[in-house]
This record gives sequence, C-alpha cells and structure tokens, in this order.
Amino acid sequence: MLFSSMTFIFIFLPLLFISYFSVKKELRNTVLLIASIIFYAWGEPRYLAIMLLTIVINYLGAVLIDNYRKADKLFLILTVIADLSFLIYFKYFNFILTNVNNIFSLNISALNVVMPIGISFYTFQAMSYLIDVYRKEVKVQKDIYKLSLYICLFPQLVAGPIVKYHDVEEQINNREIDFESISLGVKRFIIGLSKKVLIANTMGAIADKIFIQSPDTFSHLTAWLGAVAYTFQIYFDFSGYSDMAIGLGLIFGFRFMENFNYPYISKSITEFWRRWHISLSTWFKQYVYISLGGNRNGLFATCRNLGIVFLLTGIWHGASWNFIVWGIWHGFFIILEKIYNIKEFEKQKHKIQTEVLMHLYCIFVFVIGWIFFRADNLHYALKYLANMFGILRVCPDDVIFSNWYYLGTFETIAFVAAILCSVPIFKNMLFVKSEIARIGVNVWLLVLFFFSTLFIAVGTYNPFIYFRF
Amino acid sequence: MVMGFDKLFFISVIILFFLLTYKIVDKVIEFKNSKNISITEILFLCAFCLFLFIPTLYITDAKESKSEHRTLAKWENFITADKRINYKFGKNFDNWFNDRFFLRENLLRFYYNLKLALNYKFVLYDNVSYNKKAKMLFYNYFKKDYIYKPEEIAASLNRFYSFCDKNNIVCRVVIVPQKDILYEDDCLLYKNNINRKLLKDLLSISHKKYGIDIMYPIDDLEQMIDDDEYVHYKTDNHITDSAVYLIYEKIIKDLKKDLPLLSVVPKKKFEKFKDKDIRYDYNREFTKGIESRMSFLDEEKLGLKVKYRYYDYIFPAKSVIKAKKAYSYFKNPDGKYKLFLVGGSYTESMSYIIASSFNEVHKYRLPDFKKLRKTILKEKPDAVVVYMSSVYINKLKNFKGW
Repeated sequence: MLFSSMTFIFIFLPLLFISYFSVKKELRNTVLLIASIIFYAWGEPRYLAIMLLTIVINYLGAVLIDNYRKADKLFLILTVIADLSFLIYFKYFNFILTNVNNIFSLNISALNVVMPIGISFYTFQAMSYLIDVYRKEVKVQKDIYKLSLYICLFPQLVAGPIVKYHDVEEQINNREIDFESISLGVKRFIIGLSKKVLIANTMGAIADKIFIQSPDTFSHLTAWLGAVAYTFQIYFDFSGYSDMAIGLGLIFGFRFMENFNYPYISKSITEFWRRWHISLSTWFKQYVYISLGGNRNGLFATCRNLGIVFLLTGIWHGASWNFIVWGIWHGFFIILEKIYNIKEFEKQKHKIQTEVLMHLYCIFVFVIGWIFFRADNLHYALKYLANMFGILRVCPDDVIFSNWYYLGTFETIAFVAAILCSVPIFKNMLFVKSEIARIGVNVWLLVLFFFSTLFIAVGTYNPFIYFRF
Repeated sequence: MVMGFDKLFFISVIILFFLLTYKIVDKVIEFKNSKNISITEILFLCAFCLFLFIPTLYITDAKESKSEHRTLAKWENFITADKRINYKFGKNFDNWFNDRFFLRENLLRFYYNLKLALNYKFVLYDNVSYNKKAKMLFYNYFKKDYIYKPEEIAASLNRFYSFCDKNNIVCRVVIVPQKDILYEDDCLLYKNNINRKLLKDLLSISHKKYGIDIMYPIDDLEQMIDDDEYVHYKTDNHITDSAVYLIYEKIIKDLKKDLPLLSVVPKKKFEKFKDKDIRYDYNREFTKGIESRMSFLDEEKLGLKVKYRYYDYIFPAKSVIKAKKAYSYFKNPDGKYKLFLVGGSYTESMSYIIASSFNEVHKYRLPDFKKLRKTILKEKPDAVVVYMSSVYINKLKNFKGW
C-alpha cells in the first residue's frame, strides 16, 4: 500500500484511527502490529513471509547473542549473514550474475526474482537491533511481538527513516499520546503528502519525459531542466515520505528522528550528508564507519573508511553500476574535503562570494550525481552530461518537443514551490505563536490536503484507450 | 458487496453522524477547557477527520464510466467462489475504490477545468494536448516504438509486392499522414520532423530501389485543409469521411489501371449526413473521440463538437454486411472484384466506403501481417490494399518470410 493512495488515506487511516484510539492502551501495540502487517501484505502478500522470517531470525539471533555471550560474535555473524543473504538474493543476485556473465563470458540465466518492497529498510533496521544487542547498548527484546512491531511498523517500513532500536525501545513499551502530538502529526503528514504528490510527482513527470528520450534529441536547456527536475523529484519524494512517516509516528505516539534537514542549502558535500537521508548516513556511520576504525587511525585509514562507506551507500541504493558510480562520486568529494579539512574551513567566517561559490560547488556535485542515479545506464548518463555541458552536438531538426511540453502552469508553480521549500523559509511554520498566523497555516494545510487528494484522484482516471492498431 | 444509494440508509447515516459529531464536539469542548487547547487546532483536526470520511460517504454501483468509456472495476471477494484466498485482494480493492469513491467525477472535472483555465495557448493532459485557439486535441504521437528503418520497411514491402505479383494479385500500400504532420502548425508541443524525414526516405527508397510507389496523399489532404475541410476529427486521431472519400477516389483510380472494371461510385450514391458525433467504431457506432476521452473536457463548451460530413453507402438489396472488430465482410452485388483491405483502425471508415466499388471486401485489422499470407493464398482476392496511418509504419516490417 502507498501513503499517497486513496485506499490508504481514506480507508486504512480512518479505520486505524478509530481502532487505535478506541482500544485500551495495552492493546494499541497489537492494533498497530496487525495494521502494519495488513499494510505490507496489501500489495504483495507473498513477500510478507520474507519480512516475517527476517523478524524471527533476528529475534532468535539476538536471544542467542544475549544468552551465549562467549559466542556472541559467532551468532552475530551468522544472523547478519542470514539478513544479508535475503537482501543479496532479492536485490543483487541478478546484478551479480550479469556481471559474472560479462566478465567470464558465461550465459547463466537470470532468476525470476522480484524484490520485496522495503527490504533494504527493514533489513537494516533488524541489523541495527542485532548489533545494538551485541554491543550491549540495548537489552534483548524477549517479546517477539514488540520486536515485530519495531521492524514492521508501517510508517517507516517501506521508505524509512531507518529507525534504530534504541531510539524507539522505550516508546514501544510506553508512549504518551496527546493532542499536540496528534495535531502536529497530522500537519506533518499533510506536508509530506503535498511534497510527494504536488511537487515530487510533478517534477517526476517532467524528468520522465526528458529522460525517456535520447540525449541527442533535446536541447542543452532541456537537459538542465531534466537534471533540476529530477533533483527536486528525488528530494521531495524521499523527504515527503519521511515527513509522512514522522507525522504518522507522532499520531501514534512515536517520535522518529528527522531524516532530511534542507540538504540543498549545503555548502559542502560533508554538510550535504549531514542533512540528506540522515538515518542512513548515521546507520553507516555507527555500524560500518566506526567499526572500521572511523577517523582514529590517521588520514589514509579515514579516507579508506569513507570510501568503503560511500561505496556501500551506492550499492544500498540499487543493483546497478549507476548507483555505485553515484556513491563513488560522492565518496570522492567527501574524501577530498576531508583531505582539505573542510570542517575547519566551514567554521571560519567567509565573504559572501565564498559562501556562494561553496554553495554552487555543492549544487554542481549533487546535481551531477543525480544524473547517474536517474539514468538507465552509465552510457546514457555520460551522454546526458555531455549534452548538459554542451559537448554533445544536438541537431535542431532532431529536437522534437518544445519546452512547453515540459513546463505548463502547474509545473511552473511546482518548480517555484520546490525552490522555496528547498530552503528553510517555512521551517517554523507549524510552530507559529500568533493565533491569526495559526489559522492561516491550518487553512493552508487543509487546502494542500484538498489539492493532494485532487491529484491522487486524477491518477485514478484511466480511460479506455481504444488506440490499438 | 456494493453499496447502492439507499436514501433511508443515507438519512440514518447522516443522523447518526450528527449525533456522533455532537458527542465528539461535546467531549472536545470539555477536553479543550481542561487542557487549554486552541480552538483553531481543534477545528483543524475536526476538519481533517471530516475530510477523511468524505470519499467513503457514497460508493457508486455504476457498471460503466461513460466519460472513460470502460467498465468500472468490480468488487472481488477475499475468499473466492471456489473457497480460495484471493491474493490480489489488495490490488482488486484499490482498483474498485479508485473507480467508485464519492465525488470522483467532480474532482476530475475540477482538475481538468482548472488546468484549462490556468494555461494560455494550450493545455497538456498526460498524452493529450488541447490547442485553445485552433480548438483541437492532439495525442502525443511521438513515441520511440514508432521509429523505424526505412530500408527495412522498403525491403519488407518488396517481399509483399513480389508475393502478390507471383500470385497474380494486385496490391497497393496506402499510408495516411497522421494528425500531427497534417496539422503541424496547430500541434504546438512538438514538430514531428523525425517522422517526416523517415517517411520521405521510405517513399524514396521504395520507389528508387524496388519500383514501389506507396500512395501517400499528403498534398490532396493539405489542400482539403486549405479549403476549410476537416481531415482529422478535432477530438480523435482518425480521419473524417470526407478525407476517406478523397483517398478512396485516388485508390480506385489507381487500381483501375490493373482492374479496369472498377469505378468510383459518385457521391450521390451515398447518403450524406452531418452529425455532431465524432468518431465511430467498426459498426458505425458513433462514439466519443479517443483524445477527448483522455482529456475529460466538456467538448460543447470548448468548441470541439462540430458537425462532420459522413458518407453512408446505400447498399443495394441482397447486400451482406458482417462487421466485427478484427474482421468485417461486405458483399455488394453491384461491385466488381474481391478486395482484401488490411491494416489498423483506419480500415474501419474506408471499408464502408470502398465496399461501394467492390463485389466483396474482406477487412482485416491485424496486429501483424504474418498470418495474412495463408488467408490470401486460400481466398485468392483480386486485390490487396494495405491501408494505415503513418503512425504505424513500423508494422510494415512484418512481411518477413513472405
């Protein structure tokens, strides 16, 4: 089930609200657990088994680690291998096979495997719990239902944020729900939904129209338009989903960590990664970077560790060389900034021109990175970049679509909104003190909710196109 | 389980809802007074909760959507009739609810009209654009799948022509220019330069290398437009009967070189009528145009509903007409020769008009031409005419193995 669907908003949520708020406090976890399982199984019930198996394996793994401390490392390794096996099989197997075939000139057929939705997220969540138990940072959860709730809690199940067990352990056992958190949660949910439906989907439609064409059939301006559109699409899609997850969490009494903090205002890639997909970067920092030694063993080791982390970050995002190149691209700049001690540089005061240059440098890096992320393959990405920088020759006769094909009034409005919402202008909108301002904000949020519903409803329009040969 | 619109039930729901809301508001006021919460926040949450229940207030039990020209998704049980679990229940439910929630059509109409109001020269809806000045809809015909290699098509056509020649069958290929080529100036979103170039190359290679003259009546149709006649419908990608008749004349005059008994049936033998309906199906059922279906616009208000001249041949007594989508058969005792008319949806309108000249017309709508070879060898027509829109030239590569 998707958050931005009619079924979720107008059937699932109302029923869940009624059930959750009408039962006794002791039964609320059960209601949430059942709802999360229904949520996950709704679209593809077969893959529920993989998630449930992950829960059981990690439950047993943690119990064994806790009960047999002398062999805790062994149980940790075995359980992590089991977790990663699922992930590798469903997400990476065919990619690995394709590359093996290419390298060794073999012809092994690919498996007919469909990746279960959210597997990257819940696997990492499960592993974070396991490692925390191993490190004795949290007590083992002996109640499998509570552990299940942690792993498959529906707000963050399919698209994060990746919630670490120690952040929610107390909240699973005991959480308070008050009017303010419900109100704030609803508002956060509406903001997330609007980001996703009104901005991200609109930007996505522009990017899709451009990226489906060969790069030598559109102008340099169109290439930049596509790049910027995708830059906004991915941010608002992801951060919108995170906002919805955080909002839903608040409604049900959970406080999840923030996942995005206006990454596009960053002045260095180091700063960018402090603001982008924070839950993933902290996960890698805590469980990979620090385990490898972090920055404790000199500059070379630090750079090596950063390189490994970003390589893995790229791999985590998808089974394709594009994502790996994207990860390496960011890793390269992170390492470069480390070598040139960017943190110290950031602490100093600079002229406005320097700040602007730093900001432009950062934009350049992440926009280019997104081309690799979005393109179907490396060859397309390189051709696209060549077009962006005027290296690729485009014959005017081959340019099919005018710019109006990409930018109507709605799209232009969405673009302006995307630019404004990428910066923290409206950061404290939900915390205004003045009553009139609060009325204005609430009315605006209801209008946004109406328009989000409108756009979702339009997506259900499906005329029979008697357009067959 | 489909909820119908039962008035008594609806009244009961409204009253219960009021009583429940009254109780809730009472609790909320008590809550507000004890917790000192802003009334703005309370109203906001109430409004949000109210919003959440609106789409489920009424679920339509209609079977079809006239605007979308399709049947609406039906309810599928979680346990099927043969006592199995329906693993697609989630998807089925989504489809059912997406088709039937309350105020769906109103929301759609609001969206499409809002978009229309906010855009100046033209509006783009997914794959359809509406030119506000020309008052015309255009489907986005430019798709990668429609790109072809002229050499490959020409070679394939050569195989078709050779086959026909070997079997003493007269053959012709007629390509009708697509809407975005003929109305290039009104199709503001794009210029179909690639297809123009490919077509030019195809005509040239076919003629020079294989001696094949593909009929491509673009000049005559452009002249029609200059004479203020509609070649394509405003709201559909197909051509009007006026254009079909023009092309029919050209085909018959050309075929007459090889089939001397053929003649063009004059217009007076056709019942000519004007109607506001915009396209038709294989059995002359006049339905909404494809492009208008995709745009959910009020055609009346937008000047899209114009009257077109339709030509209905007055078939003589003892004629036989069996019209179906994939295959139609016409028997006209006044006509001469047996014709196979093959192609896509463009053959629909042509079949009713060209049947005036031929004794028998077999119309085939085929996804590819591979199976046609056997049928031709079996039926032995006097002529085969491949007749299609330039959008689908790619299909002509299917004469492989002929």
